[in-house]
Amino acid sequence: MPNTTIEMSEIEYSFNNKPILNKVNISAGEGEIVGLIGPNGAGKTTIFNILSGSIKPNNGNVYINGVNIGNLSINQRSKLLAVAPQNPIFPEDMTVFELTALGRNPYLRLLSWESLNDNQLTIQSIDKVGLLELASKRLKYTSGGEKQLALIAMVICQDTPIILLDEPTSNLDIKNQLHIMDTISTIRDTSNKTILINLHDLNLAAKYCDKIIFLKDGNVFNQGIPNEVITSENIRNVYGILVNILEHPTSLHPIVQPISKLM
Amino acid sequence: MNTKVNIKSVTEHGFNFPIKLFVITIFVTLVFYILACCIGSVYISPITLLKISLNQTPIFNYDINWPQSHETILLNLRLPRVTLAAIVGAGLAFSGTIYQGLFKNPLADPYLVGAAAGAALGATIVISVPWITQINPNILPIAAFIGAMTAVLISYFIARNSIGLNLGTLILSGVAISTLFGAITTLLMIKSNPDVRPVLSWLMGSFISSQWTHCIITLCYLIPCMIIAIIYSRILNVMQLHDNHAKTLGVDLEKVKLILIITATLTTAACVSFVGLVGFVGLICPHAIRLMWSKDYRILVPTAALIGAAFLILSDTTARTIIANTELPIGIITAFCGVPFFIFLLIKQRWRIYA
Repeated sequence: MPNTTIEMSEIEYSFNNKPILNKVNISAGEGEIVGLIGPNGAGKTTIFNILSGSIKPNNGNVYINGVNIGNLSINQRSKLLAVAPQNPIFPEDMTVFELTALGRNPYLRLLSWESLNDNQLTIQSIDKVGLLELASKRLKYTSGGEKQLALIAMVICQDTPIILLDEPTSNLDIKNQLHIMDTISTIRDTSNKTILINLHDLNLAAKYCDKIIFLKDGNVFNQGIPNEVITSENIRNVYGILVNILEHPTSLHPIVQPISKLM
Repeated sequence: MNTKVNIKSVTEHGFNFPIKLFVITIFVTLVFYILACCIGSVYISPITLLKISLNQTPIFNYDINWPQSHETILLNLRLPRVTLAAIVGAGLAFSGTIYQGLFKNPLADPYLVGAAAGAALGATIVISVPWITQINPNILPIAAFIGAMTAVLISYFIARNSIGLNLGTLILSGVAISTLFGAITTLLMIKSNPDVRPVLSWLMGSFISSQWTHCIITLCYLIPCMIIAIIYSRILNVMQLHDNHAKTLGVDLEKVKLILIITATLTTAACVSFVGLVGFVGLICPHAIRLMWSKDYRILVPTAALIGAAFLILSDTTARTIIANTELPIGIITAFCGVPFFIFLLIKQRWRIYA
């Protein structure tokens, strides 16, 4: 069992008196890829927002490496958690390099310029996602997949122990989806970061995640390794659909084959 | 791994402070400044200009071989006028840059959130109500300043909610307040004074009554604001992302927004209070830099200020010399010089995109 890096305990959050999260307990270990899955409105993005600090929970605490992050400043938090939001603004006149370099912001003082070391880290991050040839290309001339990779480079460049990726594969074609997930896998393997991913695609979650947290109506419905969580019964209870679960011939992870909606 | 590639790429892509660009813009501004002081109804040669200026310091003592009137014209009329034009140009240009960065919108200008309408109302009240001017003739700039600050503060408090400042609402409330203040201004112009020309000429902006004290007062606001703007210019780069995204990159967004809005508004109010609503500088100068050199706010803020100064010196000199013995409102000139240049840049950029 790896060291626990993220520990969310008894998190409660409501908006306009409507409960969004009810006593959610989530943990993630060092070097794990943890997938958050569940229907729209189950609370996945709210959990991300609480972790990234853009909203405060009504109750409960979030610990990162044993430190309660509710007491941290915005800057201290940004050195622990890097976030790739779902629909970010890509300033179209920035180059891939310039966007990635924004990841160094938490470490720069006011008035200071990026040091050679910062620039080297930026280039290395771009290299890790395989965009080195496009480093000086403006974002308006890049494709959707390349933009998403640049965003991931920026998150790596932030050099934090934890990375949150909100729907990194949405709006991408199947090849780019695999490329993004492979890149994320490699990052985990080479740097031992904890990576939390919000996913809609159950098959991608089953293939790439070490652990899956299944959310339903603001509650953790089930969490564990993919083979335990992604079962036809769980999916019927959470999504209300009938599916067939197949088994991958070599890696043995579950493959979801949808059949129909429940009548 | 491939260290060689990395080092090469760093020098290729890394940020370099564009010293050449700064030297060029400073040089251009200086040349404009000196030429503007020489040109006018009376021509004063640059050498005489230098000698007269240096004679004011205790160190130099050149023989006076020029008419006394030249000295008076230069020291009391032209130098303060050109200096004020440079200060106001720089101020409006960098506050325009800040607004464009804050609102992530290239169409933002320093008057967007109500500063212009507020200043205009303040000035109109003073001009159209005779007994106010009788108390103190210098009250107009103060009224314009108070008007500008009031309008922006009202918009600000409308747009503020429990979470923080919503910049989208700020633009809308700015538009609403501007419309309201504009209506009151028009009403005052119709009701109280049959001769609205003083108000109109103030609205178009003019440097005709520039004095050294105006320069000093404006500089008192401008210098601290400029320093703050330069300090926060890198944060403006990060703020081009979504607000929540910028927060995850360690930007204390609410604090930065407040600081930058105060900075930009103070600068704008101080700039317009003496010379009126000089239009177009705040919109065009940051754009010119953006289209020609760089979108990095660390470069944009200082260079836009320099180009703004040069642009307004040029416009003001044109305004007072193009028709002999007639002063044109500077707003006319900024529009006539600025718009064609701006359109040229836009077309140039369009060709680059399709090339």
